[in-house]
Amino acid sequence: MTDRPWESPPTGAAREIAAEIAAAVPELKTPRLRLRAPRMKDFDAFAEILTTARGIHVGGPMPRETAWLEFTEAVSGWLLRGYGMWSVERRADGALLGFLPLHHEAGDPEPELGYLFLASAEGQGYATEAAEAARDFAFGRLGWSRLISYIAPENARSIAVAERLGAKRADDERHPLDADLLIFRHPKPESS
Amino acid sequence: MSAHLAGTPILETERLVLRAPQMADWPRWLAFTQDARSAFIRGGTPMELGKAWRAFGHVVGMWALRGYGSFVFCLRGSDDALGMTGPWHPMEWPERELGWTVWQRAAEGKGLAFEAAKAARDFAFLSLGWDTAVSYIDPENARSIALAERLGAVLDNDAAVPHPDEPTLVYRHPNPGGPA
Repeated sequence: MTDRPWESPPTGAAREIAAEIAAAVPELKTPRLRLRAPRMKDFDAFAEILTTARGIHVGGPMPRETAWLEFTEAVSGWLLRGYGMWSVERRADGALLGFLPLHHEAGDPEPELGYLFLASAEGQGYATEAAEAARDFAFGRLGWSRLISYIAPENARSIAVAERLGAKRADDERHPLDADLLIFRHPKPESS
Repeated sequence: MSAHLAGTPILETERLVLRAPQMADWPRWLAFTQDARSAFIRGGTPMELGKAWRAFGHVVGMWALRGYGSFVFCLRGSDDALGMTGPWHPMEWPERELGWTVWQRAAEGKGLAFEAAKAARDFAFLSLGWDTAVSYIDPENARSIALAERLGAVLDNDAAVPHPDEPTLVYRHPNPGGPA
């Protein structure tokens, strides 16, 4: 990353402060995955998703500088709201697979569950497994009674994940700023 | 679960407390982005809602990723954010900056921004161990220039700027822990 010094991981006292903030982010574990606090090094993977055609259904492709605003904004939830975006890694080898945001940005009527995964992590059920853990956290630990995902109508893979999660299209509702977005409503697990 | 400031430092001065921004500060920030007083940091038109939110999230998320960031400053005994100051480093900027914004007109003219920025500067140099810091300032922003000079910063005409197409002054801060 020598060509991008502004993406260097923190050092010294700053590293300790970042570690303390990260330690306050709840970690979730599934059979194959670990959801943990994002760190500076993860930005490269985030940018790989949002600055390429892969990001086409989530506002991309966008310049790297804009992806950084999205990344910091998604992470800021942990400090501002007590929920935010996790980085998702494979427990077996620590490989970073993608990102799982619980996210409420200005203009959205309610918080949403999202999922952003690298091309290399597709087709193995990782997004569904990670999203289940985050959904259960939202309904359980956070005590939410509703949880939705906003999905672009052309994003077939994302719709498939939502359906695997048991979410149902809510055609009677529309996002106030983007009427084309589909709204999928996640079922509240019976145990919570 | 409530929002929290886990791990972020609190700075105290004679009149002020500096802490990381919280959700409760958002209305003050939003109002500032709609006010003429923020023109120097946003260009000609008031920020639309989404952009104002991104800017707020950028500042706060930086704490988690970089381990440093901007503080809001409040009068002791109050939790009402008067403005923001601190060390930060937006993507693609040539070097780390010490920034400041005064959100409320009532906070002007009392040396409060100076007091806050001085504490943030000392945090950057003495606690984070920075060896240098700059402030990028619009040449027409006389109040900000006056604050930089009061902090002892001097023009560095050789320094690179974030956006070469925009007129920008670079003030370089003295290291408060270094030789005079």
